[in-house]
Amino acid sequence: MDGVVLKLSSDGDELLFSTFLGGDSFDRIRNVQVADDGRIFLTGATRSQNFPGIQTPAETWAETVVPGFVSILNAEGVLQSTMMVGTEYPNSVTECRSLAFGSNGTLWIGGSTSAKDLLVSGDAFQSEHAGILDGFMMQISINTSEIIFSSFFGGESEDVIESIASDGQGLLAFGGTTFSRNLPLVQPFQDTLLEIQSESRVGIFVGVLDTNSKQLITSSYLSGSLEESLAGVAIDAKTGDVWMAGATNSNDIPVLNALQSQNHAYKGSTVLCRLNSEGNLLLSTYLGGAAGNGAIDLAAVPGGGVLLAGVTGLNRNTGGFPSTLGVAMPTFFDGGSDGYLMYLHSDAQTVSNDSFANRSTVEALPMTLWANNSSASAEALESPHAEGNSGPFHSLWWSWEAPSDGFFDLATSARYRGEWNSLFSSTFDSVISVYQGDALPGLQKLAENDEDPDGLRSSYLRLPVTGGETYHFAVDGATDDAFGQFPLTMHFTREVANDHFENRIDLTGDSPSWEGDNQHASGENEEIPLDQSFHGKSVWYEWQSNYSGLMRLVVDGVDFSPHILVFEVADSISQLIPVVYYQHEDANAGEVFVNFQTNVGQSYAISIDGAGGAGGAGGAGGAFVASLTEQTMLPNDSFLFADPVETFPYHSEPIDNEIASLEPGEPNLRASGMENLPAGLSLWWRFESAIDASLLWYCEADSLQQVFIGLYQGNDLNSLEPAASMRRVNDQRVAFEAKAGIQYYLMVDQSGYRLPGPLSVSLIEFQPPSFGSQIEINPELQTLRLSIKGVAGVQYRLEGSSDLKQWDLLNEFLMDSEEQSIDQSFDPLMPALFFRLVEVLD
Amino acid sequence: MRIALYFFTVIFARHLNALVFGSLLLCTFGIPKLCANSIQWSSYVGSADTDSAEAVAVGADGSVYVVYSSGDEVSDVDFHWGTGITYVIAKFTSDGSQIEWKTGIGLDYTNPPTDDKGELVAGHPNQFGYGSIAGLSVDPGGNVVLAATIGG
Repeated sequence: MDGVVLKLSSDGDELLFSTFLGGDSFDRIRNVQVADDGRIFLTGATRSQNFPGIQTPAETWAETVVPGFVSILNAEGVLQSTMMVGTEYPNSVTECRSLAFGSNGTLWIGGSTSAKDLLVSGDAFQSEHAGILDGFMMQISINTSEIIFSSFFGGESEDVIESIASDGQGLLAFGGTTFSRNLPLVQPFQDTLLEIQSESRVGIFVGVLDTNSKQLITSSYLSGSLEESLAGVAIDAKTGDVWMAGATNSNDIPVLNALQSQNHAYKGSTVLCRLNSEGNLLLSTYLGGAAGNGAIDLAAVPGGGVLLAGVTGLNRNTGGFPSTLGVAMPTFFDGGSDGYLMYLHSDAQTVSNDSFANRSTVEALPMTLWANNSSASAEALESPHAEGNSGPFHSLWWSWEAPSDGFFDLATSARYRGEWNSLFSSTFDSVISVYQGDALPGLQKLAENDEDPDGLRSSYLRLPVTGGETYHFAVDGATDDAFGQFPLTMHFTREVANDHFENRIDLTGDSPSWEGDNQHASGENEEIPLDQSFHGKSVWYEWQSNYSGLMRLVVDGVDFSPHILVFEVADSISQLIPVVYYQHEDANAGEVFVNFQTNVGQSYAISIDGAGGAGGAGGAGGAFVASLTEQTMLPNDSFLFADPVETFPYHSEPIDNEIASLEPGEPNLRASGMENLPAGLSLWWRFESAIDASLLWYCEADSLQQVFIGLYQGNDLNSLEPAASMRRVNDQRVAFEAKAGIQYYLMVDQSGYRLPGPLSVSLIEFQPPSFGSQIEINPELQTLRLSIKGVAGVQYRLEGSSDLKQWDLLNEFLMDSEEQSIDQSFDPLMPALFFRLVEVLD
Repeated sequence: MRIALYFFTVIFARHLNALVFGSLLLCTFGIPKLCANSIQWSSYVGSADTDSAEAVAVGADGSVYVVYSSGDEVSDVDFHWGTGITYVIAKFTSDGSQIEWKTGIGLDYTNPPTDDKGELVAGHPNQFGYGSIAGLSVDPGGNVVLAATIGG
């Protein structure tokens, strides 16, 4: 393991140098800082006795000791010197974690050490090593490597200074992680490391050192009851305030002036703190979306404030992560997580969209952006944004052009996974309103809201909008002291003319074809979820049949899999009578169909929904083409015209059930969860035996088909009963004891999920399983080879008994032909062994 | 007003359970200066994979430099050095509105970026691994220095 350092030109297109930095063992770089003269300062730790550039100390160290290092490269990447930091204390590890340039040509080093004899200066604020691992901070002369100041900072356990920052004048900020409950605290804003919940729990600390007096101005814990980690500390270039950022799994860290007062993430939130130079806490807040957030680094900005860099997970721009408009990547890109960059200024800034004239333009929706109206103001001629308010107070303005007719949702809270999430809501009592018009006096207010019924302080409204029209909307505080950070979620729902049953489109002609789009459709509360899964993107049509016969409805979704339902029409959606539903996939991807029998004069309601595809299961949609065409009905599609089977063995010609259809009252062979309606691809046969016989009724079909087979008695389709003597072998095979003079109805149907297509059926005499006459005995292996006759494809159990009373399972197997052998072990000491074969039934 | 604010802060700092209440109280009384910790801009960073911003630096002119890791070797960069799991160094404008350039850095131990300056003594050539970022820094001329650790 080596360090590596590289330098890119300012335009990013040239690698100016790259170099390893390390010896023959493990070497880790922890931090890099570039001086004004271009020299590159690197720090970390090494096990390599031949680490390059060592000047101080001249001698090597024991192999069991790990020292820290500070190396200096010139601007061209050539190593100038290396200084080791550490001692020969047995088995000690000293790791330098962070560098900062001090005043008068000095360098500050922060890190951790288990070396209890690490050199400390006489003015150290903590001169004794206090635990297993202590933090340390050290000031050296860059030119001479002389140690000017050195002190421990630690308690009873393990403490690491992860980051330091210097203002180059009189302040050094430091932060790190700790397991110790007795850190040396000075004017802490949190004086207790919360109760340790597990061995892995760790809190963070922050402190400020007066580099002139070498006294701590403040040092404090920041911890909740779960884990925290530190990203870094920085000193504000404008105010001198100390910023600290990290990550936390806790939801009980102390918050103050919070931008987000709760950890909303399933795991991990960024945590951000700000202290003034006297050590008073100014800000402590969570930051992040609904999953996997954390700051990893931060840097001071020359004009004031800090930049945070980190990670946030699975937001899809609706999970509450505070992104803003007008940045390079305002929306979550993809994958499990994205990085983030966030700039927080040290002062309230003038916001560009404070006035109506300077309103920001919003384009692609949906979007959640974050804004802050703390420094916003009211304008002359601006009216209160909600009835009953005496404002305006701190309003911000946006504009948006509706791409088509539809509905516009606006809220000062976030949406997550399609739901309004009031957890991510405005930090103050907000007011929202929507207008049209060209100038402030005379704007026409279209909608307003002060109270989101689902939120404490947020607001929500929905407004019908017209395509091509521009809408202006404002966010204000409900009172003069209501201002702060807020998420603003904008969502557009395209209007779909036939989204609701009552607005269904009439289809004309005997065989209509049409185009449609359900992408922006929605579900209705009364909609009948026939397959127990409600897809919620249905559009509606009505068609009246001019003939009695078979019709096929085909729907081809361009990039989604449609879901079809056909009903006998009724006055309301809740009174619709199902005729057929679901999908039979055609060979063309995205194309599905259903067959249904029609009667002259009957009107049918058709719903086209999204079953799956580009939009994901349970909500897919898009453009589609559809058609209704007459079909020639197969003779035995109808129960009344079941094909007679005169004798057995009987083997049908291949027959295609693709144009079979559903009859009212037809029995359902489909799996549990789809019991509302049969698949509707049923074909029928009937058989009356002249003699009693054991028969097997089975179907052979393409492997892509999932065929169900049924056997019934009775004369009315609506009151058929499964044959009393039926033994179901599997979905495609039924064995039964046929009685002379009894009429049996034989049926084949489809699961509904698989392709229909050619199939054949057979009715044959059923041969009970039997043993062959030959038994081969292998005394060496102590096995018997049994010859078995049975029905191919049937599962059998081989059972054994020594007394013909107690039967034990010896084997279970699937017959792959009508005759096969199996080897069965036996105990030669047993006096006798009897075998029997038993069919395994579903 | 600042004195009054400090008074509240110190008082509540001694009573942690009251801190949340304290923050609401302070904002309710309307002290914009200290309630004005505002997000000036906030941008996602990354590509179509699992990404994480690992380090950030700010140039003297306010330009923002970030190095982020990507789950796989990325293609949407202006230049690329080295092979393997990619880190991308990107330069943002100071207002976050644009990415000025993106350069990919592959930190595969077996094939790191070229131009070895000869400081490598040996390392552990039988242990391969990918980098962990130590930091990013910018010199006065806007050149970008990246330090990392690579190898297993």
